[in-house]
Amino acid sequence: MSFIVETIDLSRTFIRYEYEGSASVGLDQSNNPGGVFLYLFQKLFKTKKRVIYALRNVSTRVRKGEVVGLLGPNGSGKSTYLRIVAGLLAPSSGRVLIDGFDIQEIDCWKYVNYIMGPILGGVWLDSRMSVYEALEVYCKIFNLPHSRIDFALEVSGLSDLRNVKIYNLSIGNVARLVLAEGLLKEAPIYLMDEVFAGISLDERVKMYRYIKQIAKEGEATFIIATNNVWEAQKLCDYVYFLDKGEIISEGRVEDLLLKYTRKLTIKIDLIKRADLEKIINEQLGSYNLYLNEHPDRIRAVLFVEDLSEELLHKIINLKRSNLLISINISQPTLEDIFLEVVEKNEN
Amino acid sequence: MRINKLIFIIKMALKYYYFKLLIRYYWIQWILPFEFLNLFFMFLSWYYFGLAAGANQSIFTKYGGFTNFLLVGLIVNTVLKSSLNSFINATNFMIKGKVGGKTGQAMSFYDYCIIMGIPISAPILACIVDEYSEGLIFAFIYLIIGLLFNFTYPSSGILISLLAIILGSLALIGFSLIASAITIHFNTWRGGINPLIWLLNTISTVFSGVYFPLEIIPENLRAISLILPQTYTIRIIRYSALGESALQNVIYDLTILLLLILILLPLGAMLYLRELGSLRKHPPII
Repeated sequence: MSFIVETIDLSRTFIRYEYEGSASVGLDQSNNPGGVFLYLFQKLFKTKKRVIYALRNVSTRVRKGEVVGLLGPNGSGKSTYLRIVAGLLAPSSGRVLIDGFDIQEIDCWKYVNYIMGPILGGVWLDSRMSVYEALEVYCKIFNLPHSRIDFALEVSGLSDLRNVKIYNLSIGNVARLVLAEGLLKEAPIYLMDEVFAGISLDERVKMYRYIKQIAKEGEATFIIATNNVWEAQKLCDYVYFLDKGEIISEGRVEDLLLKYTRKLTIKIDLIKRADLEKIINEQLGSYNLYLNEHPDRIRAVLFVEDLSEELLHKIINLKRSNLLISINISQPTLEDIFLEVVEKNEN
Repeated sequence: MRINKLIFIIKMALKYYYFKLLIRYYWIQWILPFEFLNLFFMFLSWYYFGLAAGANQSIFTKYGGFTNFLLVGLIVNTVLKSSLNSFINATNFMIKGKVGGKTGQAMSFYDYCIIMGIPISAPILACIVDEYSEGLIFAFIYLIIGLLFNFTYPSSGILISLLAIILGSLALIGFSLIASAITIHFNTWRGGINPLIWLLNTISTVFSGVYFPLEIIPENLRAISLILPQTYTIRIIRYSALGESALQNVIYDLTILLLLILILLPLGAMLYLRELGSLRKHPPII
């Protein structure tokens, strides 16, 4: 089976200098090789050199027509991965193959389109332009066909707003404009970096449908970086969980759900009290347990194989102590799985 | 094949120039008129300050009068500054993150060029043309002001003056290339001062003979002016303004300019290309 995108032991390191016993100063030697000032700084303030792995031995395989999700908390290496596959960043070690060819040996831009979301992406022109004019200029300056404008407007849901001036757009619509700009380039592989941030749910669902349809017809492959697990569940065929630059779990979404649906997720909301944590540990400490603290309550999340009599007794004890606010028993979602996997990795 | 690529680069450069003009639209509407007045009042303050200091009966007379001296200096300096800023501003434009948000892993114009398969020489060329457009607009404004103050320039000196400006510009482009390599290497685009540009701008104000003749600077300090291409360019143009642009008067300055070009341009180009090549390895963003 051939893969349209394959990464083999991909790693990317950065070097940082830190004050001894203090916060990182964020000086990046890889950007300042042999810098005289950096050397003096290092000597003067006794900084410590630390190698940071943005990615560590990441191997992935993506088939043609798949929608693959990269899930992970902030700073887990999702964007670094996408930037390397897009040819914007060189890896420290490892290889990227696109359609079987090493990206060093091909014109990567012919295969790949990298779209960054509205927070950090987007080319800004004069905001007195209309949406359509802005896309027209974008096509002009990046040598893209004007025929894609209508498609981009349709997918991003901006068709009705094509003549509206940019300064009149809401934040969500600006996010859609950034996505529309990104979609103007046609490519067999789309790398999408948090592109749906700020877009309303109904519009997002429509976009997911489009993307799935395009992928299903085999016209394009999508690799989507997100920390929205719900989005990954709705959109992706396959997901990689990334944390601290490493893949900590992976699988087809339905396989992951199947694997974990043998379990139950029990969410117990408890009234906040000084001795609450002690009580929780006494009663539920022997279970696979995570605590989420809220201003007025603590949510205990348990993953169990089944609802045993012993557990029910313990919950009843909590109720008798007047601590219980609510209880919710369900099969886990991808979000629950994600939290569990990340939490396990933390521990 | 090469010709096709060249045509593509020029075509794209024209498009980027159009793009820069779009950004300039606001500049033309809201900044240029005020900039015109700024230049006018700046000239007036130098002019009256000079008159108050007795400039019209002093050393300036041998340069065709104080007004002529000042205007020649300002016009030439404006064009030369465009040369010094050419590559550095183009580089900053290329590697800075998106307009309005320059933090984090923001996409830069350089990133967009890679994704779209556009040679980065196209936007760099457009930025340089844009930089010179601004410089020439300012020089033109000074000329208009000059007309109000009876500024004169002999037509016989125009050709040699143009040659001097071209040679001075090439030498300063060499400096600009070296400064741009420093920008990429040390990340000064993040908001820090580029040491080379800072140094050249600072010393050229005093030591290149823009506002006053170099004769009044103490002799031991005058040596500083020797490293500045502006010094030689302005001197040639001042000779031309007096109708004294005979070859024997300007040959020394022309030779030095040529030597500076021969050293600075290849060195700058080599360093700049080397740093551009390392951008993917040590990217400006992240």
